[in-house]
Amino acid sequence: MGAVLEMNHGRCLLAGLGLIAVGLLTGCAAVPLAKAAMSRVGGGTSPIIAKPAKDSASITMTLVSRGIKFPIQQLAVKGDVVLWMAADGAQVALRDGLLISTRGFGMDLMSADVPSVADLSDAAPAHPRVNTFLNGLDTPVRRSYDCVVTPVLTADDPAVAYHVLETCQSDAGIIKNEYWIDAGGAVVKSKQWISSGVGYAIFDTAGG
Amino acid sequence: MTALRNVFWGVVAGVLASTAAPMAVAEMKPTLAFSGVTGLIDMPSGETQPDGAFSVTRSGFGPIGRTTLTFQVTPRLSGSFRYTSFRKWDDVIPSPLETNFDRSFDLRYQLIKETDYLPAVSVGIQDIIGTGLMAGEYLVATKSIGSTVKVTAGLGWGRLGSYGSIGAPFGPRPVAEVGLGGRPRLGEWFKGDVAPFAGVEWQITKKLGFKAEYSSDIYATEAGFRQTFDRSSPFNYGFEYQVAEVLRVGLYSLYGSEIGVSAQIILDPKRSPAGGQLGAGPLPIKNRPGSAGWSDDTVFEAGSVTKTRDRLQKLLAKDGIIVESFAMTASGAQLRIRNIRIDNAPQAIGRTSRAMAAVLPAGVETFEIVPVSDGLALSKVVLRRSDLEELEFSANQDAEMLARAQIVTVAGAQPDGAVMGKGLYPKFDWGLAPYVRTALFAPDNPLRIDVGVRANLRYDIVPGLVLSGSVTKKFAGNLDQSTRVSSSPLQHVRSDSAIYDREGDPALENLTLAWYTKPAPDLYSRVTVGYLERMFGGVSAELLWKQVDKPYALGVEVNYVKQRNFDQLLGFQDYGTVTGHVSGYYAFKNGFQAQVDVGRYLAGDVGATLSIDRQFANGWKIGAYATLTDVPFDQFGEGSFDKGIRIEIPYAWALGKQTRKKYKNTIQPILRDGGARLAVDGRLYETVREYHTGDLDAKWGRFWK
Repeated sequence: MGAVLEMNHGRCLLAGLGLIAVGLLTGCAAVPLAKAAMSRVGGGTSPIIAKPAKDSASITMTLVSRGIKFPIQQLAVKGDVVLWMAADGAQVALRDGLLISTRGFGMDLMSADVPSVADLSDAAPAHPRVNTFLNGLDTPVRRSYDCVVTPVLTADDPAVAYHVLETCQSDAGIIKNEYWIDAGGAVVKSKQWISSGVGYAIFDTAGG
Repeated sequence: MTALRNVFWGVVAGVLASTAAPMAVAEMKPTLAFSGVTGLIDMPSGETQPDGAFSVTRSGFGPIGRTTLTFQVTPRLSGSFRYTSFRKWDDVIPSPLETNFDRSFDLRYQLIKETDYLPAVSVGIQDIIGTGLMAGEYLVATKSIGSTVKVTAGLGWGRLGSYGSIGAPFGPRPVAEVGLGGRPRLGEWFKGDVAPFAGVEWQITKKLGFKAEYSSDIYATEAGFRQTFDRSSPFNYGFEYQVAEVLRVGLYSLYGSEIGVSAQIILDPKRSPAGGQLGAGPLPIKNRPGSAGWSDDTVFEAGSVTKTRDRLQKLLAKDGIIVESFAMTASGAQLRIRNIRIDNAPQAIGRTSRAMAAVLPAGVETFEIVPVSDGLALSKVVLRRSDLEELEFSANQDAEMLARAQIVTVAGAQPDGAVMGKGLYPKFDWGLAPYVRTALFAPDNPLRIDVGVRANLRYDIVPGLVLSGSVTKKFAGNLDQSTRVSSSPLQHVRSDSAIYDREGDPALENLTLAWYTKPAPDLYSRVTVGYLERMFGGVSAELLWKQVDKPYALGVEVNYVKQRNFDQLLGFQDYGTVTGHVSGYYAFKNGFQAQVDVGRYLAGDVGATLSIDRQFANGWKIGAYATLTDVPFDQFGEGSFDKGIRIEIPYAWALGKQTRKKYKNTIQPILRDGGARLAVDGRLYETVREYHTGDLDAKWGRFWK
């Protein structure tokens, strides 16, 4: 006779794999009672906990590799950090326009040691950067980069005082972030790396 | 076989449906052979799968079908469990079997990793402890040439040395004594004829691949003696197509006469089909006004504590966290929680701390979070509110927070002035869900399956005292069709499971009263009375000693049980026994865990079980165990002793959503009466360990998520 008994917490192999796959969370999971009963309480989704104020500011975010563009709304401000939230509850934090974290995108950028806007000019062409992202095992991976800043010649937008490329090299490869900065030193548009699982994101304050 | 095939294709369809997030295909992945190990078509290669990968391969050509589960245990070591069917077994040579089913287990080890100059080299032993029908050993090397071509060459012994032999360097191969299986045939390994094999793999496009090989397996029994197919050529070739990140299918020509097909599902724990944990971000941490406004001797009125508890509960409910109890002083608060939905314990603690920061008066600086399960307080995580505020957006926040958090032991008793969660005790709850029960890889049928509905009920009387039960009603299935009659000379503590399957409809799976408590801060206890599992009822008592910050633990369990009637209603049979174990647990830093249980098993046999599991931070777990008791191998029956492979895959990993449900299974080659343990629910170690230092440290990366 086969393996019926040992599986007091789950009773299906191939069928179970199939069930995982199609997302049918049927009764072959979990400790028989507590979890099943409690799942009725929990519901299994993850509803939005914090909501932005109705009239709060909004910018657009584009996930380049997934080809989707959506608005994100200002959720909270803490010093020079602005926390933005998408309609589905996913969050990004920008420090003076530089991406320091994401939440809810999968392999999230958990935290980052980023340069200041002043570092993104020809005057200070080199700086370090440390990005910490979650890998597929949910383990934080800290990646140290050596970055150089080079100007990009575009002059068609009068709102943009300068446009720079931040090229950062690590053992694992190169990432290239791009910033469009206005005369007041504010980042008006940027394309920044999240993680290998998510790719690049574009943030645009013009909303276009 | 039809059923197994159908299920397999069901899996394929399911996996396809689930690969919603497309990911870049690596330029040339290591692919799987017909035998389910990394390789070409019918021959192995020198490569490995990604560390931790779990694969299911289904392949077939002519009369031979194989289903193989393979786990890459470490970067170099892998194990495979295979179920092979040989059809037409009695076509030419008489046999009681029309189709012969055979189970085999392989181990392989990569000796050399591929470098610019060196090939990847692996050594493998096929069918280590089975009947020997598939037995063979190999040494094989694979080298990439450019980014799209790989060349493989190897030497095979046993069945892999049966065609085109070039001699027997290590002497003749002793004649295999098949017997009951279960014992490694050390004397045969790398003995007898050796033959070369070789092949090439070419990745034509990102998705399409081509393989060709020269096979050194003559299929002496299948093609020769029993003439189940015609082996007219040693050359095999075919195309493979990468349908999705996790699924690859192939079509081949084998041995000059047969068409072959294969499907390979490779699940890499590092590559969630959902692309990681999705879902809404957490509450931002609220800035406190500059001055706290509370003096140290402020005493809260009971009413304000209750109100605060309600506000906390409202916020935490969104993450599936229940407030078990809440206590607050002017400077600190202790919140006891039940986490019923977040698969990652540090994330549940992080989210709880954010809710506390949002709700608690500004003067409350120390947050004590106590995770509770079945009334047992498991540990106390002490956080400073100002650390949360300071680190919310800082680089390296996870390591900083872990360094500043204190994870300490906690008393079972509630702190002074605690208010309990609302409506928790007494509380009645119930659930109704479909269930699937399978019997896999039985000697006469590889897959038997029942589906039906299971009703659960749970009544929480006071903290730690739980009445619970479950009843199943079968809708359809073929588990009752097993006609195998146990001939075990031992008490049939497990081997009559076919009768339980046949007669238990509806079945009272369990109905127990369980009492959990903490006799001392590092001691956890459980007493369970009632119908403990399908086949046994009685009394079960367990005591676990586990210090919060230590990697080891010690447990004792004693049970007096009687065997239940086959109908799984209220009656008992005559057999009763005392069974129990002393258990030692150790969690290594690299994610490996060892457990040793020494004691008396259900059939009255005395012995020990060794289990080794490997757990990843995302909850994937895979392991193996073996039990040796004083039952002689010939009395135990087929397989000689009890052993198995077990796997746990969190649904959260597959779906990217909050859920603590897991897919769990144990794959045993065969279930016999020796070395059988009681399957009582609520064993303490796994529950307790989840909120202790080692496990929390390993999973801490999601604290801020």
